[in-house]
Amino acid sequence: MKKEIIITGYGGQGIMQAGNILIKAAILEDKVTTFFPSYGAEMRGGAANCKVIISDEFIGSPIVYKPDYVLCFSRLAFEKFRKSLKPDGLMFLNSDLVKIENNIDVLVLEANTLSEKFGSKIMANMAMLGLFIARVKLLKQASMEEAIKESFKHKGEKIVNLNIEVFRAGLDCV
Amino acid sequence: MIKLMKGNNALVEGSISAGLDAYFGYPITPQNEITESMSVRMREEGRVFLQTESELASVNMIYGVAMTGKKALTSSSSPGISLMQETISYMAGCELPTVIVNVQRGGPGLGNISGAQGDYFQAVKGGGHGDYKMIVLTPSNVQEMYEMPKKAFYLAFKYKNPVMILADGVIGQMIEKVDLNELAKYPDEDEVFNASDWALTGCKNRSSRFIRSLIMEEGALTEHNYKLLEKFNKMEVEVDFEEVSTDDADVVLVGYGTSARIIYDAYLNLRDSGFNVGYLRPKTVFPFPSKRIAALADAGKKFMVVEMSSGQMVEDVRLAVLGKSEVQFYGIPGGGVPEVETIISKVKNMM
Repeated sequence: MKKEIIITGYGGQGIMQAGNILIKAAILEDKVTTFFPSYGAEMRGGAANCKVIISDEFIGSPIVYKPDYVLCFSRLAFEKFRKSLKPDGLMFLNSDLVKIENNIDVLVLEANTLSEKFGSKIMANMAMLGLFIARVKLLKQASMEEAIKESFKHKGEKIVNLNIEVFRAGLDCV
Repeated sequence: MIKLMKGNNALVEGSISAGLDAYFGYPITPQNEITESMSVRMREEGRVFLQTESELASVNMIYGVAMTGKKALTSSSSPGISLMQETISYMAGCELPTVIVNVQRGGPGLGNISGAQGDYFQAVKGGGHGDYKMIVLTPSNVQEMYEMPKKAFYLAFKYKNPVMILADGVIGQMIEKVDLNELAKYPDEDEVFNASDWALTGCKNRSSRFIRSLIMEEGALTEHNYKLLEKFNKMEVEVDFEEVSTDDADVVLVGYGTSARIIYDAYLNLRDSGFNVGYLRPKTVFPFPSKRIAALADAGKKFMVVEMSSGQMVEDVRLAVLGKSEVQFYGIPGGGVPEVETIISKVKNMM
């Protein structure tokens, strides 16, 4: 099993953080994983994406052209990546940021709105991760939460717990 | 200790494990994590870190440090490495052990910041002037970014010659699992790293020494060049490569660094479809695995060379094959990445 994921949006939305959480969770489950970021102009507001591969075997190229899954946080990225999805691939869309017409096979979540219920929209990336994991079950909830804990522990217990709560709220949205 | 780490950061940890005494660097994408992380880690270790005012200063500082017998390293990306070529030639002339890391990006000129492999000629054929060679190591994963600095310093001191680690932006920027366990000791490493018989350490109680590349006496420079040539020829024993399933292969895929990862995907896919293909990845490009490639050509195997360039290493493959077999090339220059599907269709056409 080899799954290729692109997380894409703008700098400041936690695109890289979401990718890092996926690879940390993958390692906790003894999977093989790679992460390759876009780099250079990834300051707040610039286009940013990261490519994550999770597999049971050696991974050759870390670069993803035809993803199995796309987690999308911007209109620009939506247009760019909907065409590159594998035929049986899935797009997960933050519908607070991108409004789309009906009848498109996309899983949508008002991730900003959901995150705001916990105090701030900046945890929309956690909500999207929750939706993603609930839908594709690529990684276990426990390892995801461990990875979230690991990623935010330098910010204190309160922030760790908030992020886990938003992740769980995302899980419940499927 | 198993960790998830960027290639650039793994190189820092590997350099520190290798006993690096002094790092000098000037920022440039896609290797900024090296300079950034060195600024923290070298100071934690109580060793020398200096962010210089330019790449020229960096390379000349490792030139100076090497004269004292200490381990010095600089890192940069393609345009910065171009600036260093003069001093690399001087270090080769002076027979000084240093390590230079090139995390290649797209060129020529300032180019772009994407990973690329357009600096092969510069690294392998001598970007500086004069008859010299550099051992060139080509990491293809984050684990090798951790392990190769130690090997680079060992070879640099063994041959008293600059050594280059020729990585690229993809290997530098990607994160994967790395085992940061202590690096194995070379059996003769204490002897190799002992610079007491040549380093400039102050001449109290011994006769003075000179290290210089200006050799004006009639015939002396020719003699010096022959001595260097003998040394470069001896480096042949350091050739290193990884080879998979070449025995029954009709076509052997050849690539280094990131290209090697891409051809590995193509290799697996073609094998799954029943095509007899092999995989050969040089881990050193000087010395180059010419003898092995020549033997494979003698056995009638064809070659598909893949690079993130317009075609540079392919010339060394052709030199090894000497027209005895077919050599095809597929590459994308300027920071582009060869596509697995294209490799597959090109290899099928060779069958």
